[in-house]
Amino acid sequence: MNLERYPYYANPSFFDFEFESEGPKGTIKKIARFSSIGTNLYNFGFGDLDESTGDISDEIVTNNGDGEKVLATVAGIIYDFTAKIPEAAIFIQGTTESRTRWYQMGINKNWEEIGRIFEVFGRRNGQWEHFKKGPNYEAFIGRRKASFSF
Amino acid sequence: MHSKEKKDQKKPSKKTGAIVSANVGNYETHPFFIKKAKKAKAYLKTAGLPKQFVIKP
Repeated sequence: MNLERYPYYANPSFFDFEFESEGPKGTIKKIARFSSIGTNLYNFGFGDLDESTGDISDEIVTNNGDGEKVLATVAGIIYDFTAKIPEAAIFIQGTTESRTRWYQMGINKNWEEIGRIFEVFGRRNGQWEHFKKGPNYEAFIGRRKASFSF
Repeated sequence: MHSKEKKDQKKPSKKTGAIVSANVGNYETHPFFIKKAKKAKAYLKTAGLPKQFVIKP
Protein backbone atom coordinates (compact mmCIF):
# COMPACT_ATOMS: atom_id res chain seq x y z
CA MET A 1 0.00 0.00 0.00
CA ASN A 2 1.55 3.23 -1.08
CA LEU A 3 -0.25 5.68 1.19
CA GLU A 4 1.77 8.00 3.36
CA ARG A 5 2.42 6.37 6.72
CA TYR A 6 4.60 6.75 9.79
CA PRO A 7 7.74 4.69 10.25
CA TYR A 8 6.83 1.85 12.56
CA TYR A 9 8.84 -0.43 14.75
CA ALA A 10 8.34 -4.02 15.82
CA ASN A 11 9.97 -5.90 18.64
CA PRO A 12 11.85 -9.05 17.66
CA SER A 13 8.83 -11.21 18.51
CA PHE A 14 6.94 -9.25 15.80
CA PHE A 15 3.80 -9.24 17.94
CA ASP A 16 4.24 -5.70 19.27
CA PHE A 17 4.52 -2.55 17.20
CA GLU A 18 5.01 1.13 17.96
CA PHE A 19 4.90 4.35 16.02
CA GLU A 20 4.46 8.03 16.74
CA SER A 21 1.65 10.20 15.49
CA GLU A 22 2.61 13.83 15.00
CA GLY A 23 0.20 16.72 14.73
CA PRO A 24 -1.27 19.76 16.44
CA LYS A 25 -1.79 17.78 19.67
CA GLY A 26 1.90 16.88 19.77
CA THR A 27 3.57 13.51 19.49
CA ILE A 28 1.44 10.56 20.52
CA LYS A 29 2.88 7.10 20.84
CA LYS A 30 0.68 4.41 19.32
CA ILE A 31 0.95 0.79 20.30
CA ALA A 32 -0.38 -2.18 18.36
CA ARG A 33 -0.30 -5.78 19.43
CA PHE A 34 -1.43 -9.08 18.02
CA SER A 35 -2.62 -11.23 20.93
CA SER A 36 -3.05 -14.93 20.35
CA ILE A 37 -6.62 -15.95 21.12
CA GLY A 38 -6.73 -19.35 19.44
CA THR A 39 -5.06 -21.52 16.83
CA ASN A 40 -3.86 -19.17 14.10
CA LEU A 41 -6.19 -16.56 15.52
CA TYR A 42 -5.08 -13.15 16.80
CA ASN A 43 -6.82 -10.15 18.24
CA PHE A 44 -5.54 -6.85 16.93
CA GLY A 45 -5.34 -4.33 19.76
CA PHE A 46 -4.41 -0.73 19.18
CA GLY A 47 -4.27 2.34 21.36
CA ASP A 48 -2.46 5.45 22.55
CA LEU A 49 0.25 5.07 25.15
CA ASP A 50 0.36 7.57 27.99
CA GLU A 51 4.09 7.54 28.59
CA SER A 52 3.77 9.12 32.02
CA THR A 53 1.50 6.38 33.42
CA GLY A 54 2.11 3.47 31.05
CA ASP A 55 -1.63 3.29 30.40
CA ILE A 56 -2.91 2.48 26.93
CA SER A 57 -6.31 3.67 25.78
CA ASP A 58 -8.35 3.34 22.62
CA GLU A 59 -11.17 5.46 23.95
CA ILE A 60 -9.48 8.80 23.45
CA VAL A 61 -10.23 10.57 20.19
CA THR A 62 -6.80 11.97 19.49
CA ASN A 63 -7.78 14.51 16.83
CA ASN A 64 -4.18 14.87 15.77
CA GLY A 65 -5.23 15.62 12.20
CA ASP A 66 -3.52 12.54 10.82
CA GLY A 67 -6.24 9.89 10.94
CA GLU A 68 -5.59 8.68 7.40
CA LYS A 69 -1.86 8.43 7.98
CA VAL A 70 -2.47 6.49 11.21
CA LEU A 71 -4.86 4.13 9.40
CA ALA A 72 -2.34 3.60 6.61
CA THR A 73 0.29 2.78 9.23
CA VAL A 74 -2.05 0.33 10.94
CA ALA A 75 -2.70 -1.28 7.55
CA GLY A 76 1.06 -1.60 7.02
CA ILE A 77 1.44 -3.27 10.42
CA ILE A 78 -1.30 -5.80 9.66
CA TYR A 79 0.16 -6.40 6.22
CA ASP A 80 3.60 -7.06 7.70
CA PHE A 81 2.37 -9.28 10.51
CA THR A 82 0.42 -11.45 8.10
CA ALA A 83 3.42 -11.59 5.79
CA LYS A 84 5.36 -13.16 8.65
CA ILE A 85 2.49 -15.42 9.72
CA PRO A 86 0.40 -15.92 6.58
CA GLU A 87 -1.96 -18.41 8.20
CA ALA A 88 -2.91 -15.87 10.90
CA ALA A 89 -6.53 -14.76 11.04
CA ILE A 90 -6.86 -11.29 12.54
CA PHE A 91 -9.89 -10.26 14.55
CA ILE A 92 -10.59 -6.54 14.81
CA GLN A 93 -13.27 -4.81 16.83
CA GLY A 94 -13.21 -1.27 18.11
CA THR A 95 -14.04 -0.46 21.71
CA THR A 96 -16.83 1.78 20.51
CA GLU A 97 -19.02 1.78 17.42
CA SER A 98 -17.22 4.85 16.15
CA ARG A 99 -13.84 3.19 16.58
CA THR A 100 -15.11 0.13 14.67
CA ARG A 101 -16.37 2.46 11.93
CA TRP A 102 -12.93 4.05 11.83
CA TYR A 103 -11.41 0.65 11.08
CA GLN A 104 -14.11 0.07 8.49
CA MET A 105 -13.32 3.40 6.88
CA GLY A 106 -9.74 2.22 6.47
CA ILE A 107 -10.85 -1.05 4.90
CA ASN A 108 -13.32 0.75 2.60
CA LYS A 109 -10.75 3.23 1.46
CA ASN A 110 -8.23 0.58 0.51
CA TRP A 111 -10.64 -2.18 -0.37
CA GLU A 112 -9.33 -2.64 -3.91
CA GLU A 113 -5.95 -3.70 -2.58
CA ILE A 114 -7.08 -5.27 0.71
CA GLY A 115 -9.69 -7.40 -1.09
CA ARG A 116 -7.06 -8.64 -3.52
CA ILE A 117 -4.76 -9.81 -0.75
CA PHE A 118 -7.06 -10.70 2.15
CA GLU A 119 -10.32 -12.52 2.61
CA VAL A 120 -12.28 -10.36 5.00
CA PHE A 121 -15.54 -11.04 6.80
CA GLY A 122 -17.71 -8.56 8.64
CA ARG A 123 -20.23 -9.41 11.35
CA ARG A 124 -23.72 -7.93 11.30
CA ASN A 125 -27.21 -9.07 12.11
CA GLY A 126 -25.76 -12.02 13.97
CA GLN A 127 -23.89 -13.39 10.97
CA TRP A 128 -20.52 -13.27 9.33
CA GLU A 129 -20.55 -12.24 5.70
CA HIS A 130 -17.94 -11.47 3.09
CA PHE A 131 -16.98 -7.86 3.62
CA LYS A 132 -18.53 -5.38 1.26
CA LYS A 133 -18.55 -1.62 1.26
CA GLY A 134 -21.68 -0.05 2.67
CA PRO A 135 -23.07 -1.98 5.62
CA ASN A 136 -21.86 -1.12 9.10
CA TYR A 137 -20.20 -4.11 10.72
CA GLU A 138 -19.65 -4.72 14.41
CA ALA A 139 -16.42 -6.69 13.98
CA PHE A 140 -14.07 -7.95 11.29
CA ILE A 141 -11.94 -10.96 10.73
CA GLY A 142 -9.53 -11.49 7.89
CA ARG A 143 -6.54 -13.41 6.70
CA ARG A 144 -4.33 -13.58 3.66
CA LYS A 145 -5.56 -15.43 0.65
CA ALA A 146 -3.40 -18.48 0.07
CA SER A 147 -2.03 -17.04 -3.15
CA PHE A 148 -0.62 -14.09 -1.21
CA SER A 149 1.42 -16.05 1.28
CA PHE A 150 5.15 -15.63 1.13
CA MET B 1 14.66 7.87 19.95
CA HIS B 2 18.36 8.24 20.89
CA SER B 3 21.16 7.65 18.40
CA LYS B 4 22.30 4.51 20.26
CA GLU B 5 18.81 3.11 20.03
CA LYS B 6 18.76 3.85 16.33
CA LYS B 7 22.02 1.92 15.92
CA ASP B 8 20.40 -1.12 17.53
CA GLN B 9 17.65 -1.16 14.97
CA LYS B 10 17.69 -3.34 11.96
CA LYS B 11 16.69 -1.92 8.62
CA PRO B 12 13.28 -2.94 7.35
CA SER B 13 13.43 -6.18 5.44
CA LYS B 14 12.40 -6.20 1.81
CA LYS B 15 9.25 -8.02 2.76
CA THR B 16 8.02 -5.63 5.46
CA GLY B 17 8.06 -1.96 6.28
CA ALA B 18 8.52 -2.62 9.98
CA ILE B 19 11.84 -1.77 11.56
CA VAL B 20 12.69 -4.46 14.08
CA SER B 21 14.01 -3.00 17.30
CA ALA B 22 14.67 -4.48 20.72
CA ASN B 23 13.62 -1.09 22.11
CA VAL B 24 10.00 -1.78 21.30
CA GLY B 25 8.24 -2.97 24.42
CA ASN B 26 6.65 -6.34 24.94
CA TYR B 27 3.01 -5.64 25.78
CA GLU B 28 1.93 -9.25 26.18
CA THR B 29 1.03 -8.77 29.81
CA HIS B 30 -0.20 -5.19 29.58
CA PRO B 31 -3.71 -4.99 31.11
CA PHE B 32 -5.04 -3.16 28.05
CA PHE B 33 -4.17 -6.00 25.70
CA ILE B 34 -5.16 -8.71 28.19
CA LYS B 35 -8.58 -7.08 28.44
CA LYS B 36 -8.89 -6.74 24.66
CA ALA B 37 -7.95 -10.37 24.09
CA LYS B 38 -10.46 -11.55 26.71
CA LYS B 39 -13.18 -9.45 25.13
CA ALA B 40 -12.37 -10.81 21.68
CA LYS B 41 -12.41 -14.40 22.94
CA ALA B 42 -15.76 -13.84 24.62
CA TYR B 43 -17.17 -12.28 21.46
CA LEU B 44 -15.98 -15.14 19.26
CA LYS B 45 -17.24 -17.71 21.73
CA THR B 46 -20.72 -16.36 21.11
CA ALA B 47 -20.39 -15.37 17.47
CA GLY B 48 -18.19 -18.24 16.30
CA LEU B 49 -15.93 -17.89 13.29
CA PRO B 50 -16.86 -17.67 9.62
CA LYS B 51 -17.07 -21.29 8.46
CA GLN B 52 -14.11 -20.70 6.14
CA PHE B 53 -11.97 -20.01 9.20
CA VAL B 54 -12.96 -22.98 11.29
CA ILE B 55 -10.06 -25.37 11.69
CA LYS B 56 -11.22 -28.93 11.30
CA PRO B 57 -9.74 -31.31 13.87
